[in-house]
Amino acid sequence: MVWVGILAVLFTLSGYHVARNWRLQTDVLALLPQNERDPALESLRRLASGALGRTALFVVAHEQPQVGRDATRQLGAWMTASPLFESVHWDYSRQQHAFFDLYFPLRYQILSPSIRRTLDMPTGYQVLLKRLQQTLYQPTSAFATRFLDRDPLLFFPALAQDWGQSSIRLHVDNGLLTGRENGRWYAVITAQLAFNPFGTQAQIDYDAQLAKWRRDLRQAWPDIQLTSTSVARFASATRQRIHTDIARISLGSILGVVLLTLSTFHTLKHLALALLPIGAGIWSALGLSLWLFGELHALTLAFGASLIGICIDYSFHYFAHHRMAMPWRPQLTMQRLLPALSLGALTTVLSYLGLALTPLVGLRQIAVFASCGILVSFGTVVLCFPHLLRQPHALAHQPPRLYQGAQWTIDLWNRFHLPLLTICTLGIGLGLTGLWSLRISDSPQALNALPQDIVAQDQAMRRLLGETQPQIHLIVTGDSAESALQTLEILHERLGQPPASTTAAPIQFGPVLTDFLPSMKRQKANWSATQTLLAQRQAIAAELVQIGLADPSIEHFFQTLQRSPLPFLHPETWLRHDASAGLRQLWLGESDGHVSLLVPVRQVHDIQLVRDVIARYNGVYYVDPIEDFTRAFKRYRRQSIRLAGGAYLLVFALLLWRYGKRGVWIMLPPLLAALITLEALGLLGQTFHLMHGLALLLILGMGVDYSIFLAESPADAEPTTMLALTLSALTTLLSFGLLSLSNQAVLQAIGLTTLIGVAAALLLAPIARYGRRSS
Amino acid sequence: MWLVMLGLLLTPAITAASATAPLASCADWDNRFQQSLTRATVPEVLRRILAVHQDQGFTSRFAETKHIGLLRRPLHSTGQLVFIPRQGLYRQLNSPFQQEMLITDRAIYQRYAGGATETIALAKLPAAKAFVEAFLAVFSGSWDTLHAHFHVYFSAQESGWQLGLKPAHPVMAKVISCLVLDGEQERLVALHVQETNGDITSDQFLDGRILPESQWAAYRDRFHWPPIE
Repeated sequence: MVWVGILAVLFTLSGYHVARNWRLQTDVLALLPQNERDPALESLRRLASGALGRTALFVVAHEQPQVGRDATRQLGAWMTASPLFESVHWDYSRQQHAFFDLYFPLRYQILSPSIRRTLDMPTGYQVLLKRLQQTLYQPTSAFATRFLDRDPLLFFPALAQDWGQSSIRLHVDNGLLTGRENGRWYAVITAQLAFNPFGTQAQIDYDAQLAKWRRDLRQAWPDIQLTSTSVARFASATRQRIHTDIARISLGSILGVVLLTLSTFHTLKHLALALLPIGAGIWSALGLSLWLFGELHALTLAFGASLIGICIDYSFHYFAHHRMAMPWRPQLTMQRLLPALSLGALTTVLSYLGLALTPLVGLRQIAVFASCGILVSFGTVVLCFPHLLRQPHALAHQPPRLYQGAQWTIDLWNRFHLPLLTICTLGIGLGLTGLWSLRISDSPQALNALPQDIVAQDQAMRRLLGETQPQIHLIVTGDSAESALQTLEILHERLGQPPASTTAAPIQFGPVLTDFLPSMKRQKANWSATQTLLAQRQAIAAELVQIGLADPSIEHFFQTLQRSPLPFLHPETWLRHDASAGLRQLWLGESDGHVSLLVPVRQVHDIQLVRDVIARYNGVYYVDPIEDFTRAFKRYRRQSIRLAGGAYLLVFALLLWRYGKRGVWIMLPPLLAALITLEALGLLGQTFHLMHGLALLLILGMGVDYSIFLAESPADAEPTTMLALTLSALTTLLSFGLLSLSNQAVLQAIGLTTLIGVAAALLLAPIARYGRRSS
Repeated sequence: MWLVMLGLLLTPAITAASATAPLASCADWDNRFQQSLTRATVPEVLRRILAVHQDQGFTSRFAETKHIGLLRRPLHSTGQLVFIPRQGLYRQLNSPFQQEMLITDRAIYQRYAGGATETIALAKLPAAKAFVEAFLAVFSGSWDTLHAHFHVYFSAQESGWQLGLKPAHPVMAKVISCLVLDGEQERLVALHVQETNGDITSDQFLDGRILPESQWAAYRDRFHWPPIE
């Protein structure tokens, strides 16, 4: 009655949390470790990934530019009106003017670095005049001479040329950002999502809206091609795949339980009772996880679905004895089974709790979910079943077929244990080649299995934009905007230029914020540098007259030059101006009293030099998520192997304490199962990573269960125990087998490893009885 | 985005008012030329001229006069140019100063009197690339290449012929209003380029002649420049 009360409370609390806090997390990054070394970097990384994560790219392509333009404008208008986007950039017609309006008046403060270097030379004015002459006589002079009367030394064209060199492969055509590839015209629309890209409902709305726009565009322009990429699309695809996994694993496991229960126990009552601990365990686990973590990761749910195969174990053990017992004593049977069931549940929970010791948040959630589910199932079976199953089984005199199989297995091991052990030893010995050939990888990409079509689309679109290493970036921070901008300028100069001995710069930056928003210090220094021209006024004027420039233009040039500088360009002004549209993501903003800037990186040529230079400045971070996570995963993989090793030793100690020397025999099946699993993974060509290491814990948990049950079983009840083990193992194998078919690499790794390990543990479990015989 | 800047520089709407151009290459266009040509309507004379130039090189000394509206007087220069198919256009300026330039579909290379060189890769400058490709197309002698970049017009009189070209590419059209090639029989005599702001550049080809492939080797060194990265 007490347990029923506990269950009622758990059910109510779970119902409350599911109804109130149900939130399914699909962000694969949520599985990854929090950076425990530098919380500031972690918060910046989140800031950066937030800024980058909300960016969505759309490409409209067609063979005929005019059709493409019409479709792009239509899509741009729809997107602008949609609440799904915070901002949409497709109409660049005003931005051309915005650039000119903002920067042309500031041409003496915001200078091209090449002009600035020339001005710093003693004869800089002569170099500038010569450059003007050379430009005027070129066939391509039209690119530079449009503003000759107001900018005779061509400061602004030099700046524009610098921007052009750092530009991507697109240009503005009729107010749209366009390009050509493989004979097709295309236009790019960029947008900032107004929603969290990992929010389920928002993803659904976004996908539906995108599909509708695609349909509508095709209706108007049949051959139009619309592609898009964003974190939301990846997250949405991941979510859908996980949902498919959950459905497949749940349905498959439940179906397995139903078939096994009905074919072995033949009554609907057994079926109803079998489902009771599963339902109670998983429902309670849902509520507890939501209460503790505030949300549920979709991977936890998928993994939780495989828990069905474990939660049913305790029921099957009890059912197996009920099925065969004559006479039937419900309480006594439970009392006899209790030590084995308790020890089994304890070792399984311990092995799951091992996952909780890792710093990986997602795994902690899985550990809590599984442990809770197992304990509630165990409690329900132990405390409720003796009251719910009072009558003997109607077919107790008629053993099921599986029982005969179990008996045959026990007989086989009894008669041929030496040959069987020899075969096992030989097999394991031969399998060692698999162990040597097992490849190890710590790359997070090994855990990432995104849909190929979406990945290919994303890569193609990034190639159009000229992005080669979109994940790598620098984050520059400062106490103020000015200090951050100054640091960035120094870094850009140090790292963006080739060192004397080489031709390649250590790093090839993407667009650098200070090219568009220089520090106050740089703007003042630039303006001061231009003032040196006033000292050469006569010589410059004479040369400009010689070239043919009108006197009023020359006079106007010197007047504007010697005038006090315009108000310097401040971040606030720049951020508000249309000219910064499309670049604002480089300004990460203020957080914890620091201003942070994002610096995209296209290519890294000398990582060591980059790290050496960065180390000299406070608040500059080199962020390479792949490298960071690989390093972290390597550490965690080693930890997981130590953890698994420690768990095996702990369980071994527990067995020695409980069984004495017999503990060695009981420990042997799970230990050999783990070894066979590693060999099999090697032979199957799998790449071993963190998740395989952690799955070894599960093999221990379940494998040791089987050993204990057989070790605890009296000799005459061995076939019954073996029947229960076979039923349990079949459902477990079904659950983890379905898990191994998952599209998610994490689940696939755990599923496959556990599948092999549990199968091996079951086949080797009879070894656990030898200790008892010898004793 | 910043990459629009080159486009910006070419936008007529924000340019200063140009001074009156002394020549008007594009003026009176409709009276000089009939409607633009298609492959089917290419006159026999033009077919013959193109056939003579197709896959051939071209070299000439040139005298250039450039009228820039913002300058009070025209700029005069002389030099030599060499065009070799698929290798580009080499242009050597002899006066008023020494300067070498090689224009290919991948880059613009420049070498000054002191030996200093400058390379502008065109991959990241679509506007300049469009301009260069169109410029090279003028010398190609290929109808397909010409037609890919321009709307083509043609008129012939007893004294000679004129090939009128109006850019088809919108980026190019922002810079160039029209190009007109003057010729006599199969010989190229002059090239006039009028920009959208009214600036006009006229090149007189003083001794233009076709360079057959057998003679290309003699000019090979002029097309050898440091490779771009």
